[in-house]
Amino acid sequence: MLPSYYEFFSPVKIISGKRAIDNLPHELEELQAKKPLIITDKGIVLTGAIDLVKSLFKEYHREIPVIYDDTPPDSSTSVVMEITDIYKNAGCDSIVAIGGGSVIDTAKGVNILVSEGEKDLMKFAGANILKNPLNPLVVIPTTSGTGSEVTLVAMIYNEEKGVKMAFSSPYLLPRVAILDPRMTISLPPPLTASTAMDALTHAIEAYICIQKNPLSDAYATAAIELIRKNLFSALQDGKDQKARLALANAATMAGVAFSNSMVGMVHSLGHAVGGVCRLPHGIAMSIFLPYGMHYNLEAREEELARLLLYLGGDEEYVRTPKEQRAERSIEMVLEMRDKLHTICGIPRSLKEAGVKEELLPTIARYAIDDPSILFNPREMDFDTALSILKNAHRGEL
Amino acid sequence: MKAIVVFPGNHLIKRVVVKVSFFILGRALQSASMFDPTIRKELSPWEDGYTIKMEVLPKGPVMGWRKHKGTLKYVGGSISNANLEIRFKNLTSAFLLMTPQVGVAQGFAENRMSVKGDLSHSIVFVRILNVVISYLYPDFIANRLLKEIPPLPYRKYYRRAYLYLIGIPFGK
Repeated sequence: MLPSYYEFFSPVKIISGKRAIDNLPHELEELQAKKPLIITDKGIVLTGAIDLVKSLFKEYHREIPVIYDDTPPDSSTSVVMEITDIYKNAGCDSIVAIGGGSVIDTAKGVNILVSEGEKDLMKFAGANILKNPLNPLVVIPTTSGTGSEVTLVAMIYNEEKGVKMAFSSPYLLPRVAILDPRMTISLPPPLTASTAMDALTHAIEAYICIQKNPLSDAYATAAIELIRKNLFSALQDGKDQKARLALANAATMAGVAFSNSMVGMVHSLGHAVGGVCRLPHGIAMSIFLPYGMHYNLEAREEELARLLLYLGGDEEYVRTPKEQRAERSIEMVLEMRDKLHTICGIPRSLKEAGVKEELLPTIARYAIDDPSILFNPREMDFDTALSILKNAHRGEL
Repeated sequence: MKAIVVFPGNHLIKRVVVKVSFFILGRALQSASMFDPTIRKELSPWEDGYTIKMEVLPKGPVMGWRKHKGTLKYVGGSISNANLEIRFKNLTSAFLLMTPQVGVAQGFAENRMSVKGDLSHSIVFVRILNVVISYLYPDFIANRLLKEIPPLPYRKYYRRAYLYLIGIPFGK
């Protein structure tokens, strides 16, 4: 059904395929970016990806970019400030982010400060506060999960307040996203699985949340189908470039979907448990996704029923009676999670993930204040959040 | 062909409706924050002096509240920078939400407003607004605006009458 009003914005140029990263120097030239700062982390350096990038610049007869490779697993305001100083001192004019969600969010935070010429990142916290385009940002994701290469959101930890702050603006969108299967080939199976579940959650939540629209739906369902068809191939053979590229595309498509449709309670719970217990985001998504689908079943039965086509394939969809399809969609996600647990030990409950039960009330308090809850089809108060967390702790739906 | 100069219209009726709605909402929230325990509990973590502003871009109307002794005091249009600012993109967006044709959550989903400040505080503010909306409107209207009507005490009809007869006109 067409919503009475919606907005959809996805201007990121996406370059996907074999040796796609070879286009990086040319794309920077097109953006008139003469001196990029590469933001990455030590793990990416060890994979050889940065050496590959350096060789590309040599081949293109361009100066080797300035490189910052100390981004920590969690983006924070002090890291953003440190990199901002490096950017300014080196006279850079653009940023290339090579890494996962934390690197990309850090790059977005840096881009705000260097483009606005400011020192206080918190001035820009909120939604739609930025008023001017930012300097060119090119993103090369090395996980197939967050979709940050195509989203208008950055989550950065505010050390002063001790919470993750959200920055949301169309100006945060990168100019170019490059999906090269070589960037994710060395991703170990547990990370492949958890980041794919993150992408799956983005797609499913985008499909059922209140900002959904026909365009975001198209991206979401395409992403779900790609994940279903390729995740286990990638886990079986990590060097399967076709599967890796398919998952990278799925993550990007899911990112486009949720950037325009937002996410809901699964992310509210996931952000909260990530903030309180530092549980990796992908694992939190994997644990909470069936609970989110189950809780929203009352408001989104038709949509969840339709998702069975993409989660289970056309045969599964046709053989399942109409009135059982929504529940069967949830079962498909549970089966997927069980399989991932068997293959690579992904936890299926908060207890398995090492989350202490006494922290659940604190997590619930943060979850109900997370901005993403606004877009969930149903309200979630403290008691409901706590009840879901307790079930998720025990592993009972 | 001569160029035609177009002067911006005033949209007088929409502007007046939004201004009046702002006043009603402003006073209603002030009054409800005095008697509703849910609202007071939501406000309790915020310090006294915390300010919230609602503004229609580009040139108003504007209104706001300041936290004072556990409640929200309506300060009308005399508010500049605030801790939390909700900005309606244009007069039409404000008109749709204030009239009320579009709910707050739906308004955010349709990108009709921007938020300056801590987004988690905006979620608290939306919960407070949901309580006030369920006092202001009968269920058949509130159901269209809210995902779920928050549980209110059996005295809600008495409190609704209080809001309309005393809270809004006299600010008590």
